[in-house]
Amino acid sequence: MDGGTLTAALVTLALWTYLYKDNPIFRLAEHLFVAFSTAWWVGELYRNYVKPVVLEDILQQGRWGMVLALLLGVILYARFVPAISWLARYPMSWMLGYGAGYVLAFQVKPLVGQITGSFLKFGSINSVLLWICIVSALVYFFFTISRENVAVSSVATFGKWVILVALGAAFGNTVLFRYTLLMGRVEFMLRDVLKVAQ
Amino acid sequence: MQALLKIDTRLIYLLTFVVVAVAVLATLGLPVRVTPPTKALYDFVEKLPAGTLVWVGMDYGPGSKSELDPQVVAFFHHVFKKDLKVVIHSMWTMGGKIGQELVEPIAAQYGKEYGRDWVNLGYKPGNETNLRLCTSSIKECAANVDHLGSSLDHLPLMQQARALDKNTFGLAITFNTGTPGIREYLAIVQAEKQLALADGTLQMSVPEDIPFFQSGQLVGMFPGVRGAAEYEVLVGVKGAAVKAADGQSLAALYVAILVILGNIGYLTARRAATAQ
Amino acid sequence: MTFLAQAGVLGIFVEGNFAPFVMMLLFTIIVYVMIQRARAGLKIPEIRKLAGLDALDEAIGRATEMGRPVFTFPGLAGVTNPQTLAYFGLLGHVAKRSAQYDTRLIAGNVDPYVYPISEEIVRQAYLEAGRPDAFNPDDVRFVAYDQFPATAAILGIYRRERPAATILYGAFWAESMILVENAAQIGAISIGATANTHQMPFFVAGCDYALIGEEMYAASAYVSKEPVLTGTVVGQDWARIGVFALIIVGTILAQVQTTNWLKTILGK
Repeated sequence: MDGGTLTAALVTLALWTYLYKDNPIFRLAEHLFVAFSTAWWVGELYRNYVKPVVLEDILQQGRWGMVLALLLGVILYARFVPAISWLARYPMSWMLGYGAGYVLAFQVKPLVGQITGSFLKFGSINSVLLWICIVSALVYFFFTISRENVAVSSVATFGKWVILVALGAAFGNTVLFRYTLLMGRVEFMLRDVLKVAQ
Repeated sequence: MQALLKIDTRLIYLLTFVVVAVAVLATLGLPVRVTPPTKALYDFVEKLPAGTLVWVGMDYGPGSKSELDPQVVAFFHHVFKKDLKVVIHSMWTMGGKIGQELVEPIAAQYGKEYGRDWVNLGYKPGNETNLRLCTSSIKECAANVDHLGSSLDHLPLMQQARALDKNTFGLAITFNTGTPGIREYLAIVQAEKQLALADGTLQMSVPEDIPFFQSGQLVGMFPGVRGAAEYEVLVGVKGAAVKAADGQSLAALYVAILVILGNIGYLTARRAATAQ
Repeated sequence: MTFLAQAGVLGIFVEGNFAPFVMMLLFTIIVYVMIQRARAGLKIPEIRKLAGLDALDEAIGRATEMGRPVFTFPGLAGVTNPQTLAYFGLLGHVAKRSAQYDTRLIAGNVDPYVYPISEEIVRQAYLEAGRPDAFNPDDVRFVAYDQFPATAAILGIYRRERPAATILYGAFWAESMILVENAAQIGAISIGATANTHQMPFFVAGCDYALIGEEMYAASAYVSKEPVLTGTVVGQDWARIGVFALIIVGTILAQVQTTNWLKTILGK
């Protein structure tokens, strides 16, 4: 067994000890994980952002326009200096503006696709059922129409049940997903470490 | 009956381990029924003419390998069998590397040459802004280098793969777990560029993503590792997914039993409380 | 005109983007008008009260009776996430009530930008309740900037400070079940609200009261009475009613026509 596999096996076991109860071995593994992931990110950010922008684009290729972007990034740190912390709001506003703009520019169209996708031609029980579920779930989220109206409240109540069924399906799917993750780990322990499985 | 509510969680964990270990050690070979999203994706790929370019987004990290790796493997078997050409791109730092490790052996098996039949651009920072740049120029969004840093100018396939759009590519698929992932692809690749899009997703994201298949925005889907198992059956390769699906079936049975027991305990306790 | 079209000036709409643009424009106008009306104190449609809302005051009241703190947490997302913005509206209300009842409030934070804003909101709420002296800045805490370290830190708070009520309100991921489960173990009443579909089942299953999806925005607007939030929720609701109407019309057309003109228009 190589060192990498052995380390992975030991760390996996250390984490599993938590299932019995919280203990120092588990916490050691957990802290090591946080430390390694932080170190990994520092390296990745340097390799993917600092190096290509500062060393290559600006210093080697002389794309001085990038300095402006760099400056906006640096200004973000101004919030740690109380006297000039207001400066940090400018790049923050830029980011917020970009985020809102991106959503409005690109995320509306997939939504329209969802709307037109709901124009179902009733050819089977499934399509009728699907359409009723879509519409009633939508009615459940009407907040300005009073529920005192019997028609609205009965559709909304049906909508609530539709949502609960969907959440049940989501719950089941998530639990199964977690099992697949566990299976990946158990397979690693039994096949690669203990070599009892194929 | 109320004792059912007080089962030691450690016992539940132990049994969980036993159930999963049984699935790993034994080959159960439970029947796999192909579902419409997987079948639709398979049929779509099946109809693509040989030589068509396929864009593959490897948008996940090591945490989701056990669910998504089998999907990637099953998909590449099909793609290489059909003589399609592939460009791999990743918005996740580890995605490019995971893709390389998975695709290399399959490519060798089908005698596919790197640079001519497939290219791995690797991880490209910038999330959706980078993906958007790819739709106008792949050379630019990839900073003209592949995952190893070699220039794209020397790779013949890249002469053909200029931009991520429907004139160049026949299909785009993203194997994804979160953000950035399918939402970005839906907005940029499907809605804006009108390119046929497919989704390789985690079991837990299936209820969230399936409406996009039902509305016709996705041409097909891998619904979790089960989807990978279905695809393996369709393509006729034996991989890890059928086994993983066996494990899921056993786990589902085990969880269902626990849920029923827990509810019996809960209802008895509630009845006892109201009786008092 | 031909010249303009050739020069690309009229080509500002990418093919198929016209309908989404019109919809976005209409939506923006509705929301803008509603916000302005709410600000000016003019009449706008009322938001109906949600079941989980009574639970909020009940939870704070229970904490007061037991002499134990209330804990609030906005999840992992940053300030650009609408769920976090909804949390801000709610936090003001919870902080004000806590100040009035003289109950200790502990507010956890993961995001470094959310943290100072939370602190400011709590300070302001204590001031408005006439209890600036009771505000303790150490109770608005930055726990850790990473999912599971933050979760571990919050579990520590649960064990040490034993809050009687935990309010999880915002964007949650895999930590949701761990937090809810541990709140149950310390006997705290828990209220969960998220618009992250994959975590809703865990809140519905594990919390005493859960608000799902759009409900969390409406609840936040309802309790805060903040004009921007209220106007936005009402505007959104109108947009939702519009979508409902579109689906009804579109579906009727799908039954009677082979080419659905509404679908064609929306696709442009």
